[in-house]
Amino acid sequence: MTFPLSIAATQAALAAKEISPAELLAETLQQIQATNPSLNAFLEVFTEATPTAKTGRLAGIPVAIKDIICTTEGHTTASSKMLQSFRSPFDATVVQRLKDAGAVIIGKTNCDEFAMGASNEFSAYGPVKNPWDTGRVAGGSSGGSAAAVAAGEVLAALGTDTGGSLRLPASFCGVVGVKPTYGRVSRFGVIAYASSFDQVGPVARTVKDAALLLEIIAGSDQQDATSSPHPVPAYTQACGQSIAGLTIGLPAEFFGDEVDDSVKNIVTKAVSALEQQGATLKEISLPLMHLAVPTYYLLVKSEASTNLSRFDALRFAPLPRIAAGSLLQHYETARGQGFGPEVKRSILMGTYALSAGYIDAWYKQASRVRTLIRREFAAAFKEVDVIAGPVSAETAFPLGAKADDPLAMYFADLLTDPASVAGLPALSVPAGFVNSLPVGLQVIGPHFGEEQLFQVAHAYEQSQDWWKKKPEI
Amino acid sequence: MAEVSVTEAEVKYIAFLARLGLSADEIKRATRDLAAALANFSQIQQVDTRDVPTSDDVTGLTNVTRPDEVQSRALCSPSALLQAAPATHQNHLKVKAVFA
Repeated sequence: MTFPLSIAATQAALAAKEISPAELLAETLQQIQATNPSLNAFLEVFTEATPTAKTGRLAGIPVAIKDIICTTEGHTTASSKMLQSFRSPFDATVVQRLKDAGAVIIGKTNCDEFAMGASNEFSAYGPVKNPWDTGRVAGGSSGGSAAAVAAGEVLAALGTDTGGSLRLPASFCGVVGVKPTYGRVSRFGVIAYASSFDQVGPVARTVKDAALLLEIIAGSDQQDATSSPHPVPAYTQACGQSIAGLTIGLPAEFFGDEVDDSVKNIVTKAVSALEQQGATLKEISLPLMHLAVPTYYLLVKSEASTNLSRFDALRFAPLPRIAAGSLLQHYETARGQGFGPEVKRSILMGTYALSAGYIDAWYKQASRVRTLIRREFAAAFKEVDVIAGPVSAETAFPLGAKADDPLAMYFADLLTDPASVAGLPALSVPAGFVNSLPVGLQVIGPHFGEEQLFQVAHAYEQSQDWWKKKPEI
Repeated sequence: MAEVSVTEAEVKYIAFLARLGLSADEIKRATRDLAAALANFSQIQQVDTRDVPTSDDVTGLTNVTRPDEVQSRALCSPSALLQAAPATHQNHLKVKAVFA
């Protein structure tokens, strides 16, 4: 049996009884077993999972969950030693919503520790390898989710995106990754990195599959006061609508010298394909975009330093025996042992930026610049419906290329941080290959403009066949 | 790019504030990394932000409340929460004395 390429095709095969839910599950587990040793996309696979639901929009479909999202099955480690034996007593709201729709939670995917990283090399359990070239990174922090979908281990996965953590791995692995508007999806049961940025979103092989997943997980949740009451439209119905008459903004800053010419070429061809379908291209400028990375990191690391203060090795999971005399020594030893290098860097930078004497110059100034960046995007969306550009300045880089250079790793988010700073929805859709490595087209919309993103991305996807290509692994 | 001075003593103090135990090598490396990042990030300080408010919310949600009602479905039992903790005593988390 060949593995169907989309949830829609799989559901058709299930309905026609060409395959049974049990066969689908067995095939999924077999594919994971065959490819995971060379990818390290999964930290834990639930081999005992059973397809119990007969009905539901995801009935019988195996879905993988980034290990920063709580599941009652297995462990939830955030890819950290700090939580290596933590089992969540409850499901995150997004997981519960998937289960209610009939999905089978098949396993937990690897990510950067506490979602901090752009390459997935900061996982305490080893890096995720790129299915297109296992000598290269999968992108981060949701690298396991993207690699699992790209390698055909699963048809869909959930990840989180704080500053590009869904879009970057989706671009590097050649799949669709969606960061919804801030507040679009409940974060209850999602381990917090930066609370004014984090969002949960889907990774899938097709735009319509991603739209289906978002439709299921989106919407307000009493358990998360930051989730929005904004109504959830039928995202799947936006797929297939004509893009004639839409205006697509192309910011000059997304096509600057930092971006590889080969990537620019692919993205330029992709937006031309949209123009051929009746969209209008309009060159625009976002002059403050070069400040997005510093603004993002100062705010995110500040929020992280406070969020991670809860990890004291007293409440969530034991660490190997800590021979410490005082409570202070216990904290210092546990946190020193439990956290990896990027998490420690984050806590230090955040504590610095928030400390007395520095908070005005660093944290508050970054928060004010954030207001200016938001205003700049708001002005742009008065002239255009969506904004398009590359996801990343380059294709997946070799393992180890940036792991020892924190600043270089931060600037891997150059083109994904702007939408995050402004709380905007953005997605990555496969747009072609450079030297057999995938390149993603990024589409950014106004707040709660996910429908237009799916409309545009689906129109592009259907005009090409990039999504049908699978890595040989 | 302005140079930002960060000393090892400052990093040690920040680590103490954050309750983060670091080795001498880690402190040395962190001092270098923090100074390099802040030197780059200091470009935001050139921006005129007089009269610009901070961004405390990005989509306009304010004063979110929920009905003051007992929830019918408990998320999980107290015992399930306690099971996640390394040490407990009579339905409480067991920790070292704060004032010793």
